[in-house]
Amino acid sequence: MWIDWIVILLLVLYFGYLAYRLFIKRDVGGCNCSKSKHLKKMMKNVRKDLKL
Amino acid sequence: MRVCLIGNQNSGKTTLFNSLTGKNQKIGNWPGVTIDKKEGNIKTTASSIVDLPGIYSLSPYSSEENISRNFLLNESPDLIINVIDATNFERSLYLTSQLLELNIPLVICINMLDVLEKHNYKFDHKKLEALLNVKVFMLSALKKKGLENLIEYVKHLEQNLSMVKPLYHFFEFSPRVEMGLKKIVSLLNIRENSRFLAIKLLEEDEKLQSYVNKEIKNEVQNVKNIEADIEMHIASKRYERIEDIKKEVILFELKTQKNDKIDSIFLNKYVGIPIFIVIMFSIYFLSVGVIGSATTGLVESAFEWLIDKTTLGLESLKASEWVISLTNEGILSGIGAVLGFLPQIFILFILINILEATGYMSRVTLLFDRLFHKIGLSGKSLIPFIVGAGCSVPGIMSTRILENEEERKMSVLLTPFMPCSAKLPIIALFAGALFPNSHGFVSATLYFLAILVIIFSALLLKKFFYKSHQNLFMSELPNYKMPSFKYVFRDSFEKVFEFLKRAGTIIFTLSIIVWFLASFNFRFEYGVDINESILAGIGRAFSFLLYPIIGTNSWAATVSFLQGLVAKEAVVTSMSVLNNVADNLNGTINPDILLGGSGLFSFFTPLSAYSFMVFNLFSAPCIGAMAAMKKEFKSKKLMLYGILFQTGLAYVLASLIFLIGSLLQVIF
Repeated sequence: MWIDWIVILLLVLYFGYLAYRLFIKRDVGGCNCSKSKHLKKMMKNVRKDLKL
Repeated sequence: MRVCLIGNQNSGKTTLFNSLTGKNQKIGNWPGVTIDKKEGNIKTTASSIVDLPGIYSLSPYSSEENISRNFLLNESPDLIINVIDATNFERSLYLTSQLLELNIPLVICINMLDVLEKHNYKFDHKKLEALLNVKVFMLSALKKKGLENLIEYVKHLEQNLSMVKPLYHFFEFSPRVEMGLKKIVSLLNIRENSRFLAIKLLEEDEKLQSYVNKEIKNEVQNVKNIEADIEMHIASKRYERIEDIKKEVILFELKTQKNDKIDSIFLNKYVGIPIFIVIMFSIYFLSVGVIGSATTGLVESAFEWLIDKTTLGLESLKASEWVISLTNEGILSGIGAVLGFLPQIFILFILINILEATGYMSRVTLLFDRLFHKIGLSGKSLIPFIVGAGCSVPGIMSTRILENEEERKMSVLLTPFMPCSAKLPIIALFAGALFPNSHGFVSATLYFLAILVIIFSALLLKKFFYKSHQNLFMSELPNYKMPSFKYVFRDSFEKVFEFLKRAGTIIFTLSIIVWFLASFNFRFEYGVDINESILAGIGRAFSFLLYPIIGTNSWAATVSFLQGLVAKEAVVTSMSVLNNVADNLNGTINPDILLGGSGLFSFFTPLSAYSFMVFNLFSAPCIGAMAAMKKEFKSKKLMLYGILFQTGLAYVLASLIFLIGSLLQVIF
């Protein structure tokens, strides 16, 4: 049964971290484009490819 | 005497400027209007020389072209030195063809003589002189070869400038256009640059509208009644003449001859587009069809093995039933359903990258330029669409290469219509399960439907919102070459890595959320019938919306579509998790079982599957693409209008497909 509690703990930690990134730090997904590391990296690649 | 240097970018103007003046100016272009002028004195003469920005034409489309054109028209230099890069002869001569129309003394300098000699080019500059009636010098600005002849000529002109009469052989257009030009020249009643101005007025140049009076306007309209796209006609005639001149002037051109032979097929007016269709069709047929059939079983077996091991491991740890269900039916089936299509995506990326690396994709932009010009876009808009075939986000961002703001906004709106890699799992799942004998064909039809949707939307947007005139597209075509497999594989692996990263982040998270909402009811009781779950409750509230597309009220299809707004591949993830939870499938990712089984998705027929795919493909893009649209539009309102437009269009199109398909089924 201890494995159930570990899974619950991991889920709480994961979704807690996600909520922090999403609502407080605002740097994932589409919530704040300019802060998203993923989008920034993509933009950098596009600039490099197209020599903008 | 005041001399100016003009030519294409990287034709060696500034190098020539430095050689002639002895200065050491930084080599490069003038980036904007407020730049300092590069001016100096030609050594051993009494003449000054101005280095103008590198340009491709005297049209007013870019700030560089505006600067150079204003300089030529307003400051009337005594002599133009037109620097031509002989290795890009056609492109360079396009600008020359416009300079010939000005009443300003002109000399042509064929630069990069050293490069010509190295590549065994034989350039008949005397022939060019005779054809254009312009003095032509062969030189190498870099190696300072042939400069003395040019300097001597400048000295000669200093003494005899008043005797120089520019009577150049300019390029002629169709008889009706020439007649119109003569009439406009007489109506303009000015001596300086009258042919150039008349051509620009025919092209309805916005910056020269001060010259237009009622009679000129009528004459322009008369000519336009015969030649509707006058700008295109003039450009085509110029290139036709350039092609003729090139045949007479360049005697030996090994590399270009090979390229020209291939281009005469790939860029052919009649077979160019059919060849493109066959190529893209083959790519989809190979990646989704052939490779799909061969690899689906392999990935399924790998996941079955993983699920068996996980189940055994969790059971040995005495994990509860819900932990095993979350792991197998939630996470592993959710991620597995998407990863099952990884081989197809990898092959698709490799084939598209090979096309890019050979230089074919650059030709495709040119091929579509004429068609796109008619719908308010230029061939350059194809670049965001090609990038968007990988992922909409960089596709939308790459619209920044488009100078025309309206064309750019249209492209931002249209790029998400391209089937990106995240949409491929949706296509592959339905095509594989419901069109077993024609999945490659069905997948390819969706790609071409995307092109038709883009053309139709562009026409709509042009008619109602974006009405301004578009740029003519000029681009340097790279030589055809064997693709570098290092580049092709590296780029494909990078894209696959991005896809894997999404599976490990967004898809992982959504799998857990879907499993939770499908396994619990509103009283948070576990193990209830899936039709009583939280997700079923949410889906039922909206399921009527999808009725015209799939012909039934399905909460499961509705929630799957809604998840596609977060990430498109989540549609497949959601379907996989829902079916696994409903039927206790313990993590299977087999498409036939996912679309059969419990009945959550067994209602799908080939027709409803196709219309559902169309709706998913063309409706609002994922959240990342929405954010990119907002950033590029610089307006939340425009982004929302854009999403409404996309979703509305997709809804109407998918409903029409289902309706017409159903009617045909009844009739036949």
